Amino acid sequence: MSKQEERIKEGTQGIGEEEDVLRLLALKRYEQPPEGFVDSVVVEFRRRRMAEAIWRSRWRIWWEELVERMERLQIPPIAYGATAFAGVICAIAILNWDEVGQTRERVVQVANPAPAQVVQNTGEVIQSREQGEGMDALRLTLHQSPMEILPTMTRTVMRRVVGTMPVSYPLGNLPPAREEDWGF
Amino acid sequence: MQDANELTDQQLVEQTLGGNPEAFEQLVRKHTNRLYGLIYNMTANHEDTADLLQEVFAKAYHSLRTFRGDSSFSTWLHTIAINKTLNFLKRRGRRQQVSLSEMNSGVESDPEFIKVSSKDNPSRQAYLKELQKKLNEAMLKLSPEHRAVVTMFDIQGMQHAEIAKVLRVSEGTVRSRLFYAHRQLQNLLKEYRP
Repeated sequence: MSKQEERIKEGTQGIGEEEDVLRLLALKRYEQPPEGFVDSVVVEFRRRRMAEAIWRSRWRIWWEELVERMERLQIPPIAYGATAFAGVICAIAILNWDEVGQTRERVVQVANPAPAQVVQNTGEVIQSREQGEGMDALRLTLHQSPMEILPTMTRTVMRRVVGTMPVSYPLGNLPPAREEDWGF
Repeated sequence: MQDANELTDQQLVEQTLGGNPEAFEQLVRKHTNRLYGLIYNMTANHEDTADLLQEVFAKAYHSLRTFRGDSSFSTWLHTIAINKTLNFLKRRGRRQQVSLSEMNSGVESDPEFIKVSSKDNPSRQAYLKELQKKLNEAMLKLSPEHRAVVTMFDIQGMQHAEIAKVLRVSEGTVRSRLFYAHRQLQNLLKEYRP
């Protein structure tokens, strides 16, 4: 019999101050689950294990692990809101990424029939990958009004130049004459 | 061949990992009573305890590969049990107050308890039972974290260092939580002294 158990037995003769609480708490270690409880736990565990073996996926295990870790971190609810907000912003940015590309393409196409007015030609020639083939890019500032109700917008667009003449063809749409050598 | 009851926890873990799930059932048998004491003293509800026990063993079974043997299997199980129980108590929070009538303490029917208290007169025995009831009530007034250290130290007889490992806090924190919890229990039980 341990010292503490002896103390419990002795302690029932008289209740003191702090010792009271400790003796009472130590008595609680005699509490046992109902009879047959262990067997029922084993049987239920086996039943669940069999059932889980069929549907439990690695993804679910990972998710449960994550949820448990998050709960353990005691993150304030506002942090979840901030994370969700950041997620929405990221999603919008990713979705707009494509649109940005399309808009640029559209500007080039719109600019091709010259609806925009060149108000500033910086004369800055930006080297392009095709420099060796005689292709440069020139930075131009254009005025264009996509909608009449909106004020005129100023944009800087890239236009390809051949020699001193700016052309609006994207690389893939160069006229055949530029793609093929002269035949004579 | 070695009897399953004689196998150590580590051997049973190895057998389970080796593809013998029945070995894990031996571990369940070995540790159920102790984990029951831990969880029951924190939840004060038998059904919740039974459900949590299943969750604990399921989690242990699926995470068995992560058990590296740095601590004993029992400590590792206690860590899972404490985390599950604390999370459960947080979820339950105040929306479900446990009434004393739900607390089905088994101590009265325990032969050891009867032997211990039979040395005294019947009125003393009745008083002790009443005090146990009040103690249960006082325990429920502690925060889950304080209840956890009291349960592990005073009821389960675990050492400060082991409790610190289970709760992933320093030993100093364990000691201070114990001190505070004892003081609180003393105050709550003050009026029931003879």
